[in-house]
Amino acid sequence: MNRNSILILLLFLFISGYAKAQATISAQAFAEVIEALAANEDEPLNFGRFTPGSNGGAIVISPDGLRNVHGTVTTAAGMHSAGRFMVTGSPGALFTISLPGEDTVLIHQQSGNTMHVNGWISDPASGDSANLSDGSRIVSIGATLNIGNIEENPAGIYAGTFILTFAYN
Amino acid sequence: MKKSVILFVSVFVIVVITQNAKAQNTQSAQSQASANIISPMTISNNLPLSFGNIAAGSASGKVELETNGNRIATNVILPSVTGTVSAAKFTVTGLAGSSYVLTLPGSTTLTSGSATMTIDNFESTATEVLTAGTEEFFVGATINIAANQTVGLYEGSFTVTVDYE
Repeated sequence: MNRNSILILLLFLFISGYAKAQATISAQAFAEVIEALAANEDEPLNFGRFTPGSNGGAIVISPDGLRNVHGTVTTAAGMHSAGRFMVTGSPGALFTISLPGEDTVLIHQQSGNTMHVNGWISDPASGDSANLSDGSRIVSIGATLNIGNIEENPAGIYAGTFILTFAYN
Repeated sequence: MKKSVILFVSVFVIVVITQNAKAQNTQSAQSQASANIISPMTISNNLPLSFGNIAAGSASGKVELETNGNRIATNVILPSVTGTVSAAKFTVTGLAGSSYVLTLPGSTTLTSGSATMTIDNFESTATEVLTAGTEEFFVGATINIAANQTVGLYEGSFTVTVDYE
């Protein structure tokens, strides 16, 4: 009788000791899904109204909207603007701007004649890391419009599109 | 005299269960049994499993967090502002020189409000040998991200178990 109880006690001790040999722990896991980057055009890139003159030339619009004229081009009154885009995403994230790699061709609907836009420039500058400090950032775009003479570029509206790419760093 | 009988019985029981050996040589059996019983294993968690910032896209994707903390993204974007990224780190202690078995979970779910993401493909750097009585190891895993996954901080937990081999 005495032996049996000791045997049971020993078995119990052994089993509880075995259970302690195994160790288990729970660890935490985290991930944060942030907002995808989005962009809206607040203001189109608009070179405004002008007259080419006899030799044509160019109009340069800077990212802050200033307009400079070259050649025989003379500007007229009316709206002109740098392109303005609102980029939104995760606060504090960094992003880069990729400007169009090629000329954008503006087409005169009536004649089919064209003007080329190039010399793209942005603020913040393309290639730099721009900060979405509070989750949004305005990006301004300037460019150069190359203008032929009055024969090549008759009066009227010329329109085209360009593509900007914004990406998280 | 009675005490020595009791001692014999206790040794016999231990030997049968741990070694599955015959209890004929009580001397050697006694030394083996005492070592196995009194060395519990411990495990502690030093770093959480942290995947950092992920920008979900319009297609489903995943991020593999390697055991060295490196991240590999498929169909999602990992911004340069990474947030906190770490492979999980654990420390195991036990009998020096012994081997052990690490059991990782199959999968676990992280939640943010009603939104969820699943983590699977757990892997570790554990050699499963306690050469000097302790081993540190890292655990990585893969997180699966749905198309247009809801924005938010996702949290969850997972359990790892170690046991003598």
